[in-house]
Amino acid sequence: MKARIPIAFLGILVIGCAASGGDALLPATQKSQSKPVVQKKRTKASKLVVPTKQGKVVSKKDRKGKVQVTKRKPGPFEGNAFPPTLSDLPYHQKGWKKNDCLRCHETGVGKAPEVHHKGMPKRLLTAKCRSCHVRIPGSKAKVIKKDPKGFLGNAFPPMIPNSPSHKGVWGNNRCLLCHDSGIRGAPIVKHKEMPRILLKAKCRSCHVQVRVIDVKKEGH
Amino acid sequence: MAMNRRDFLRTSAMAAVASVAEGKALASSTLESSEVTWHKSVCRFCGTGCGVMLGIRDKKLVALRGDPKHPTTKGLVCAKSLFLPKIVHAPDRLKHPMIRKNGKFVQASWDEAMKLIGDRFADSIRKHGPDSVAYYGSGQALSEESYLANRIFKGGIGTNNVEGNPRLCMASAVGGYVSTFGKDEPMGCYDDIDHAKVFFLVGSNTAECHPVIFDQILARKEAHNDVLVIVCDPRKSPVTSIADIHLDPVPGYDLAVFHAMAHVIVKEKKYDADFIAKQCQFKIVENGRPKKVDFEGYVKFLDQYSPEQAELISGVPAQKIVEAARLFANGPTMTFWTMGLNQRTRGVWANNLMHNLHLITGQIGKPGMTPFSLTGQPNACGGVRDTGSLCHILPYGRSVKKAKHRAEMEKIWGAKPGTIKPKPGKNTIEMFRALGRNEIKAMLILTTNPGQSLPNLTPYRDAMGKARPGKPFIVVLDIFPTRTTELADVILPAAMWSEKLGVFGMSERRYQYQPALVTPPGEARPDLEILLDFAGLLEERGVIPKGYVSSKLKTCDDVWNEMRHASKNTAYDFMGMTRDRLKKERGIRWPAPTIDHPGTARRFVKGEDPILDHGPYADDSLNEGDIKFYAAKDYRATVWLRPALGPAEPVDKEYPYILSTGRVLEHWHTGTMTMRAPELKRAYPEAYIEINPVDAKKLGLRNRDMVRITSRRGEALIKARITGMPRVGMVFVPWCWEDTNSLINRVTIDAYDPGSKQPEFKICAVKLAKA
Repeated sequence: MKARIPIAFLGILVIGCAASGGDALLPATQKSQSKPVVQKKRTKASKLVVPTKQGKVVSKKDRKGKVQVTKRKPGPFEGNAFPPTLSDLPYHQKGWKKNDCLRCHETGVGKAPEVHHKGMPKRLLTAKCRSCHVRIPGSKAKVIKKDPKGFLGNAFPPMIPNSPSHKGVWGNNRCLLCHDSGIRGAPIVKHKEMPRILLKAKCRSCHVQVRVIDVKKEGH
Repeated sequence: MAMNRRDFLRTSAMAAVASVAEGKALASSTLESSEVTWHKSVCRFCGTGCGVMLGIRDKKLVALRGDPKHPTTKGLVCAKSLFLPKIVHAPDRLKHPMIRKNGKFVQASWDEAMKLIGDRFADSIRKHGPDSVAYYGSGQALSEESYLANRIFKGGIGTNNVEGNPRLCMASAVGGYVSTFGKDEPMGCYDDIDHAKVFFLVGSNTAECHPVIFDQILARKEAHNDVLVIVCDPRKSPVTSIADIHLDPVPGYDLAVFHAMAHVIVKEKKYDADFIAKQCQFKIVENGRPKKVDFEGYVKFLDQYSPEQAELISGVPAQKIVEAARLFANGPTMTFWTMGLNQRTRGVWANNLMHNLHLITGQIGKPGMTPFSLTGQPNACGGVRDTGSLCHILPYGRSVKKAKHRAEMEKIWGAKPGTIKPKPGKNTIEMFRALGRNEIKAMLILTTNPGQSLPNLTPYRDAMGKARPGKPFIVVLDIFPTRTTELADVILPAAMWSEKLGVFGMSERRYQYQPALVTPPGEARPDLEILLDFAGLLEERGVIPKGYVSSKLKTCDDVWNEMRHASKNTAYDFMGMTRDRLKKERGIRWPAPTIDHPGTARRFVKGEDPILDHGPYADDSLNEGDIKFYAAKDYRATVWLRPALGPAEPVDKEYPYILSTGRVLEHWHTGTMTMRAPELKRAYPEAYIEINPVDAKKLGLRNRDMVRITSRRGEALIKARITGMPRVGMVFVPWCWEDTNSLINRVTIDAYDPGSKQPEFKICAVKLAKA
């Protein structure tokens, strides 16, 4: 499936939407997974729900009968009470059926939101993303035009995912075996207009491999 | 325009990658934004000295890319450098002075903090004498900062207790250069990479620790089929991926290999008899004194180190040694080494033997032929070695032991004659031992992290931070909270790299100017300003002469100009390196005695080295291209006959494994800076110990098992990585992580080289157990 997307839009604006860590592409209900999800049913205050590690409902009424919700520090996976959804962007439409989401979302390449499944059981990390995530047809991503942290877009080298296809080749300078020819569906890398000496350089000199994805995200 | 996901991936990858180069590709629309101005500077990390361009917007560093116009690094930078913008603007920078009160740090004003420092130092000097205070600096401080600190302590206070972390990384290289050639610093340059046909990489994980140098070696090897690489390293580090010959001696027993290579060169008559006759002398130490021997004496000495004998000592197959020796002698050969040779109790000797190989084959002073010690810090060479900011030396090749040199510096500094003491101060390890005995009462620590980087860490952390009667007063200047700031009595927030101006001097003698482009966070100030204030406080309190610093030095430029004059008519002469020149040019290699001198690629070569044309070392009798080791005794470099002794702590039944420490590409030293870039941190978020599969099987260890590493000094708990990289019987741990379990320097040994006083980080005996 192909979509008509201007490069500038993709390269600078759309992909910039995730600069703050990934909330931008997600529907509002799934933003800021580190915060507790409080789902209000306005009709009855007694149904205020605060998911906890134990899955208990924590709400109580004060003396005046007003419902008080105790916000606890969220458990490791508390925010994901429901499967996270994804926007219906062109690169999700085709990539959706593959299991290569982490090529972008582990590394932040193209400013894709970095995914940090902190606290998720290891077994789940090896599962197909689609097992949990739901794509909502027709949904759109929020576009943030400027990196809110103030660093220039594309100022940093792309991360390299810790995918199975990279196992054993890291450090051997054999990246171009696939990335020069596009074999096995590897993105072809053409370091256009880069000084020749850089093309001879070991890829790892500039590229950083992401080795784990469950490290706490830093503040910037 | 139609685009599918794959196209998108390609596009975005290209755009991002291109940004590190010229910035003319897809990324250009962002990078060349009119709001952003680009400025020439130099990288903050290792001693390669990569030229960088800094993108500044609103006094904020928003991007960094390699400087393609840089004459030696040619636009290359490594991943660490690319993340410097995020490191500079990391949220946990130190922003305010802090004073420890009742065991807790309390924010203080600059006035309060500096007054306290002035009082405590002055009090200590008055009551206990000048040697009761000390300075511990850094190869990351700017040249002007190290020079000024040295001037305050040696020429003002009158103590030689001036040290710096280059003692932990470069001291053996200094000892090697000085004992062989008479003066410190490499005679060759990075240009030699473009001429060499054989690269001898010894005890150097160049691919990870100096990736830009390695990239250039790789580029040369890929472009020329006849370029060969010999690697000497007990660990199969990434450099071995391009090795034609890999020599893997048992750690600590490589001296026999180097002698055996010399043995082969001599036996097969591949030596340069003419060069040896004109330029070399041979010496052996007997009864503690050097004694001259002749070439035949050297040949006889080498008889005990045949390749077969070396194989027995080192474990390296004799045939490999023979092949390596032949390649080396064919040349042109360029040798690079770093901590694998330097961080040893026989570090100076190992350095001497590297020089021996070059001297007997005459491979010095010609394109592609040079022994080159790589530096781990950006300014260990220019900032500490050249400015003489160690306990036994004075600026620009002078020694505290020589009355003439002391008098020269006292005159330049305006110090009272006799202020500089003739006895060297305490070296780093002895300084921290004295701190533990409360003999040193006050210490100023600047831009370094001894609370993590010293070997046998536990007693030295106690020395700095353990509460006790008479505990010394510790002041730390730094940019981030570290394992050292937590031990301090006063923490001063320093400006970082692009927030202050000054000069870095990297491995090939190139001095490069770094402009101040970014506003420091909070109340952070440049170290030089802090040192000027510190000197002023000591003047006020009468412990250094009134006006000793304050009447002469007010700005960084004043300090630089004094430094230039201090270098005049020395072997380092850089009088021609004015601030204006440095601002315009992309570094200048000393000697550069006049304003129109382009800098010197190769020292000791008539026609290239201006020291042979003018000044005290001038010699008009030489022809163009002739070599003269003008700083060496009798103008001859020394080939040393050093016995092939082993490490300080060999393995035994109780501690059967050899521990070696090192680094990874993505992190630098104690990780203080690189751990602040989330991407770099995620690349290597936790410490690991490399264990050979044979040993792992014996110990019942599997990948990611927690391993208890125990030595006679302490222990660490680190996850196992089972890999064939270290040889059997050896384990390897990078030392970049600061969490208590990962502090591998609690395990390492503080035995040090008797000549260079550099500790043996690279070798100690440990036992392993599954935790």
